[in-house]
Amino acid sequence: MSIGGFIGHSAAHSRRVARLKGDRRQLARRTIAGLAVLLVCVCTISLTSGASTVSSGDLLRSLVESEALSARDRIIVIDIRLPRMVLGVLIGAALAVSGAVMQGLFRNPLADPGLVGVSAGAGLGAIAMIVLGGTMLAPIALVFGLFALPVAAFIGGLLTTLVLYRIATRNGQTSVATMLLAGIVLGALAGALSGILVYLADDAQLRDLTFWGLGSLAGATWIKIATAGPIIVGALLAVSFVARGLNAMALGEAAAHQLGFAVQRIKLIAIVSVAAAVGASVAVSGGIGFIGIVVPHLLRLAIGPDHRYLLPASALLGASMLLLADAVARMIVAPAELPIGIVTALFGAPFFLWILLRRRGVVDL
Amino acid sequence: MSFIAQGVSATLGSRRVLQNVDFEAKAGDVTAIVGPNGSGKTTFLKALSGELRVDGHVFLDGTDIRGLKPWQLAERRAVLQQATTMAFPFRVYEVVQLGLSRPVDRNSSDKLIGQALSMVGLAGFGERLYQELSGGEQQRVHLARVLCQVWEPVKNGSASYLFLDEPVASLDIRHQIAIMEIAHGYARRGGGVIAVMHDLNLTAMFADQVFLMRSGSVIANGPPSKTFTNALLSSVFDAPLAVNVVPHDDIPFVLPQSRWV
Repeated sequence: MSIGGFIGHSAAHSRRVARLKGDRRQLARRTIAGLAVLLVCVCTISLTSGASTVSSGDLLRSLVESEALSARDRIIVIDIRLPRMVLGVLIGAALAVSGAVMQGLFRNPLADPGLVGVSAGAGLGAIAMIVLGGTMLAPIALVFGLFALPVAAFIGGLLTTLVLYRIATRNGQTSVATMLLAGIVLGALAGALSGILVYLADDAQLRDLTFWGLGSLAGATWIKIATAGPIIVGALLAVSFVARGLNAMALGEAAAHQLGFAVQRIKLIAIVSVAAAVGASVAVSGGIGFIGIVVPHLLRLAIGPDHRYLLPASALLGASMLLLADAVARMIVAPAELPIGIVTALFGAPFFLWILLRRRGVVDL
Repeated sequence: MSFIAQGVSATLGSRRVLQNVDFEAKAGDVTAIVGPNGSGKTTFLKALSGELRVDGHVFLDGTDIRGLKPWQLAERRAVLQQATTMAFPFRVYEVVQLGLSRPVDRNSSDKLIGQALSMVGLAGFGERLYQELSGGEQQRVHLARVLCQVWEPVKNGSASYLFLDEPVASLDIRHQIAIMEIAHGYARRGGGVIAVMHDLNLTAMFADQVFLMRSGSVIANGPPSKTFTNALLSSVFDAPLAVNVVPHDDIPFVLPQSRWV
């Protein structure tokens, strides 16, 4: 093609616009619709499965006639399984979206709040509140009341994320190796400090800590939902405003600025939202890992990395995955149940290894 | 209409990388910045684009760019960087789409992206993954993205500007010329082009104005016919350079300019 050919070709092309190949938005919208349907199905499974069986037909009929379920079944569904399901949806969405946002912020698909110490930092905050809530941290406990635990976890998560970002990012570029190693160090440090606090705890506090630390949806109550829910929903709404900015950040901070984005504000919103969502999740359910890495990775393979679609899709698939993991945790050793963190790690860890091996040439380790 | 820098100085670490640089690029011109490695060309481009805070002033049509928000600047100038690494497996279509600042309806965005891709010689590449392209192709994808960002050389009566940092560094000769023709055409339609250049022949061929930089200062400026002299070029690059001298013996030489002969 001659030099002039560029121009001639351009004119010819504009006349037959038609559909340009490479646009995945249609596919993304369909996938999101599909994931919404999947979540409804999984919610039904979550409500009907467990040690006591409630048929999905009865459950549906109970929506119109209150007599369809026995009094016992109603208590099981409304006071035990429904809050558990709602909490599972909230936390699954929070963890998956936090993972996607952190990966966008750090510009690398291996960032996950659980893996790089953010969850450990949030855990330290929560443990500090449980152990020191009556003494040193009493003012905070008084001011925030029921919210004290999620707020403490949020502060712990926020501090860890900020430190991590400062260490791993130089001149707008994030080093994968530095981030993973710094995350391990921060996680270990938070773990050690948590250990000291556990050592200081009295018997009643130890009991609280043990229940909290199991990493489970088992203790779900409407009160927990009322404290963690607004924080998580707020964080999820906030990150929807930085979705386009995160796309631009994939080109680097300088290019994002050149494209007209307020880079510092995007980073601030992303960091605070991730810390809030992870903090609230950790406060009510302990540490649940790998949802944040598995879900966005699968979705990027399916619909591409555009955060405008990746974030809502992650919320839906994260919720479904956590509810499924919870169902497995309840069924595998019924009538007892496994902590859900064990189930997600059991499936998530090999998956993470698979990503790592596939990307071995790309990661600058 | 112009981009003007007055007394721009900058320090990176303890090193003074720009010293009191005065500069003007007019709309309708291709303005080239030429100089040896480490002379401060890229830093100066960053100062002009508002990316780097510097001492002194940069004015876009008389307005100090410090008073402009990132999105306001982005509507008036787009920057092609030397190298851009992308974090996730975006498709070519999606990378170019990033240049469209506000959401436009699908038909017009498709049309624009298609035109930009054809213009850089990548028609039909929309579906390809960015990471699977060659370096030169990647660079041209970014040029298409940058073109989408400031598609109209003149919009609502004010000129837009293309900032190109070594736009042809990773390209073969055919694409070097093609890219420079795009830049040239953009300027001829009323836009401004500011390009950091290493290739002196392409600069001589396409630039209207040249700024010669060395050690963070502007040594000389003017049209290539005035600035490309043996004395000036040799002193700026600290290498013996001869302008318009045919090599002796039988050493072949290929000049892009020669196609006009």
